[in-house]
Amino acid sequence: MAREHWSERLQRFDRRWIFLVMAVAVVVPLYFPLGLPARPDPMTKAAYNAVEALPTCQLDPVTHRPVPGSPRCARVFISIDLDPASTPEVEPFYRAVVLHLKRKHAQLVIATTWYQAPPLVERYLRETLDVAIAPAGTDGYAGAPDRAYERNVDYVNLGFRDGKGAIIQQFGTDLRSAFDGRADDGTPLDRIPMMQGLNKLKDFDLIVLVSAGSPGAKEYVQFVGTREKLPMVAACTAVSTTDLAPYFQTGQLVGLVGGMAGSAGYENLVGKPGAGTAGADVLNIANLVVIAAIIFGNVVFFAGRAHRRRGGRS
Amino acid sequence: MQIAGTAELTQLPFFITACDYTLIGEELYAASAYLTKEPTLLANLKAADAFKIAAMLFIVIGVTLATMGVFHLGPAVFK
Amino acid sequence: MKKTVPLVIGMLFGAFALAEFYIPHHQVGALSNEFRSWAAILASSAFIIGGINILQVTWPKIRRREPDWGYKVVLLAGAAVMLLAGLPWHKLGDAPTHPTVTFGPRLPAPAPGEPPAAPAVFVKVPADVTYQIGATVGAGTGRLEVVRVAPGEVTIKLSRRVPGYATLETKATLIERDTITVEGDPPMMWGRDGRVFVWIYEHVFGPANATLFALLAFFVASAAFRAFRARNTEAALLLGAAIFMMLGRAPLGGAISDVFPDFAQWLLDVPSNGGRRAIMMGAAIGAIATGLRVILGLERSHLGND
Repeated sequence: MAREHWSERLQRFDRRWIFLVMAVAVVVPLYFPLGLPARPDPMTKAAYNAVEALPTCQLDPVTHRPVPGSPRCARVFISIDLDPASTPEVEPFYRAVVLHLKRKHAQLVIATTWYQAPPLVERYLRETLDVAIAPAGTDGYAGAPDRAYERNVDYVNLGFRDGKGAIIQQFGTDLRSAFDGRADDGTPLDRIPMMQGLNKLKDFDLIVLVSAGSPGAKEYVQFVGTREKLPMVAACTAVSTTDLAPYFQTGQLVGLVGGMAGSAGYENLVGKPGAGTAGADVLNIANLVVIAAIIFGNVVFFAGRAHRRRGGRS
Repeated sequence: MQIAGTAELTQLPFFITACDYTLIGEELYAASAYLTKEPTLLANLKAADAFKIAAMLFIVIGVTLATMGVFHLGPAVFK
Repeated sequence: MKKTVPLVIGMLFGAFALAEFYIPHHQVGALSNEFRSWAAILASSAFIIGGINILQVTWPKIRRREPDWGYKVVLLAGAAVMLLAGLPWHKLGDAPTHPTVTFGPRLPAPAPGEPPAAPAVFVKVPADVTYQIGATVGAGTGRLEVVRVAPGEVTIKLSRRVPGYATLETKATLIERDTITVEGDPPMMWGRDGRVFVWIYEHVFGPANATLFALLAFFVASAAFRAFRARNTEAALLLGAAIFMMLGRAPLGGAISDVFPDFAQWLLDVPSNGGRRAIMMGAAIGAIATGLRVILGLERSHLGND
């Protein structure tokens, strides 16, 4: 009886060994980080520069209100369209960009078009806007400190609206009617001073899209961005980066932060490493495992094919 | 022999590496029109091809005009 | 009639959506906004129809004890629990919205030459409640705590550290030597922002949702060994590009050499964008053709089969 070739034995390799190697590759770097610096790619740098170019207003240190005569505070619309599954990839960018915006004392309007997002959005607002992300004296952070924001004074949460492309189109023509003229907590938008003059997306200085899929950045570009020529920065999952990269190349997106690697790069630029930087170490090792699996699998495949050709069997 | 087809671009790499032949995007719809010879599908395909030729024509005209520095057609035509 | 009316509706609204781009009159824009509001309402009502449909499809399978009927019970039970937890039951009762503020005896007058006594706020709240008296934020201990504030209007807020509880808020105007006692226990809320709904979302839905996505990592590794074969030129090019992209996008590639991130960016900017753009144009043209077929009433697949 012919002896089984090593390639045929390996073809029947129990895939649970691969699962185990992958599990070790994911868990070990979390406890023993490599500490490699996350180099931001050109699209991430463009996103950072777009936010950095926003005006920084002067605030009274006691009342935290704009000083009369100083530049108007930047007004930014943030659409948080994600679910718990995509938080490792885009949440680090969200936290970094909110710190970046708070350093500029920007006024923020937050909304979401995903039905799974509202409880997540509430948690993000509690953890990043209602408190200071990086107050003075934060360990490992050398940038300007931020402060706690006040709901309906420094930021407004409009809440969730369903409707995919149609509702995004309505954001572009009449944002207030899309939310029935009220914030998520029921406060009439007419009674919120920071909402004065903000009636549609064109009235904002920048649109930030934290997008994990559809509806998301692509729909914003297709339905309102190009039509109204809006300055938009998007963060997306790694798998959607190739989908959105053409829009960055044509200038329809002024910045694109792709996946956890992009988020880690943005954290690096902002100066506050977080979950993205920690996850980048996992990315290093996990990618090496996948590359090794591809190479090894093909070596086994070609060795088996050569063996079959030599033996004359099909 | 494995043939796969998808209009979902994110699935393409997996099909290309795992299957013998892959139909990309509208090739899937073209394949169904080709195999079934259904008039509706064939008409759809012909219409899409006509649109594509028109789009190619506009791209060539646009690239030529942009190369000549003409970015607004109105003033160039109606001087 | 059953198919004609939806066809006519599709034709009219589709034609209007197209005409909006060519008629700049403000009334057309206002009407378009109105139609988009209708579309948003219809999209939201689809959730209710979807829920009813789930019940219609799943209940007969449970009754007939089809294979895996137990999972259908879990599905319906989970939906029912979230529906009940998501209703604002707390609005049925008389839940307090303000903390209890009681004015007490005034502090004794200061001796001559001494500054006037600042108002004192005595706070007595449970241990897991946070209080904010003016600019002072503190944690409740269950015992009486005292906070001195400046005279004037003072905002008093009581809230719990965990989400899902109401915030009790009020204002009080105090002058020198005033004393007030603040008491309160923020009640639990129900509904989308309520304790139960948020707890289930953060401890059940969130981890389950994340786990399903996390499994992909293992399946991709397994597929990389067993299925990703360079069986032809296109597959070999794709695998080579994938290896360069994986190395280039992770910090490790940049640490080895600048070639990897630069080449990965070139792959994204040139071949990938070029091919992706072509496919997107083809898909867009297909969408135009389908849209025109709906507007002209030639497309009937969205009406379903009889």
